[in-house]
Amino acid sequence: MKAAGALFLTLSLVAFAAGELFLKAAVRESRVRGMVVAVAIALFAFSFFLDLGLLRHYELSFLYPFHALAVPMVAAGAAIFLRERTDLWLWCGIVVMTIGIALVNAS
Amino acid sequence: MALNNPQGLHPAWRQHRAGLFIFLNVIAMTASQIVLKRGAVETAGGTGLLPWLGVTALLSYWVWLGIVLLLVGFFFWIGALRRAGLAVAFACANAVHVTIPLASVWFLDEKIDILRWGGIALVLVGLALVSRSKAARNLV
Repeated sequence: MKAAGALFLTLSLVAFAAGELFLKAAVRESRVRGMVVAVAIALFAFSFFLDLGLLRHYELSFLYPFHALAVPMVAAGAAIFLRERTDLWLWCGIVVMTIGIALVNAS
Repeated sequence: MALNNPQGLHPAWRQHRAGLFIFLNVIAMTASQIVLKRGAVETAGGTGLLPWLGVTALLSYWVWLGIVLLLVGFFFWIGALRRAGLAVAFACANAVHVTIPLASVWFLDEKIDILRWGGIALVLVGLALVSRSKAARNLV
């Protein structure tokens, strides 16, 4: 993977994970907070266009598994910023999934 | 946003519906990635920043269909988020890392080697472990 591709992929992942945290924060109460949803959508849109550019240079089955790296990022963010309770099963599953993704990328 | 009020639902029914919303999200996201790939290839070419950012891919109907499917998946995702925690819902929604490679083989004739199949199997094991967590136990 070229340096530009790695940079765009990293930016896409960070924007995506931050968008998920903003989205959950916006809808977790009975009243949806529109401004927070808008920030989440803006982050998703930024990530989307980066992905679209990347798809022109790499196969989908190679590129898409990288998105699983967002799983530990989102889970940690949810535990830290949204104070969600997580348990050992959840983290074990996340670790195994991340290893699975690394294996996919190593192939 | 026209969503029903999950706070008014029985907790077990709310969690059951969260599992259904996650499943529908996975289907929509898989379909969207397949058609986006078709659209991106169809409009490939050119130099400069815009082609890298993917903006010129908007000239393809496949890309617009992909965007519609992404929006459908997004609303299913909001439905899931209103009924389940982000950490467990997001982990479960990562079933797309199994369904998208399988769909890539089926619809795009992409190749997956044995090591990548092993990785996909590990993602499935991870999903099974996540499903044993307290937060996920009653999703389906």
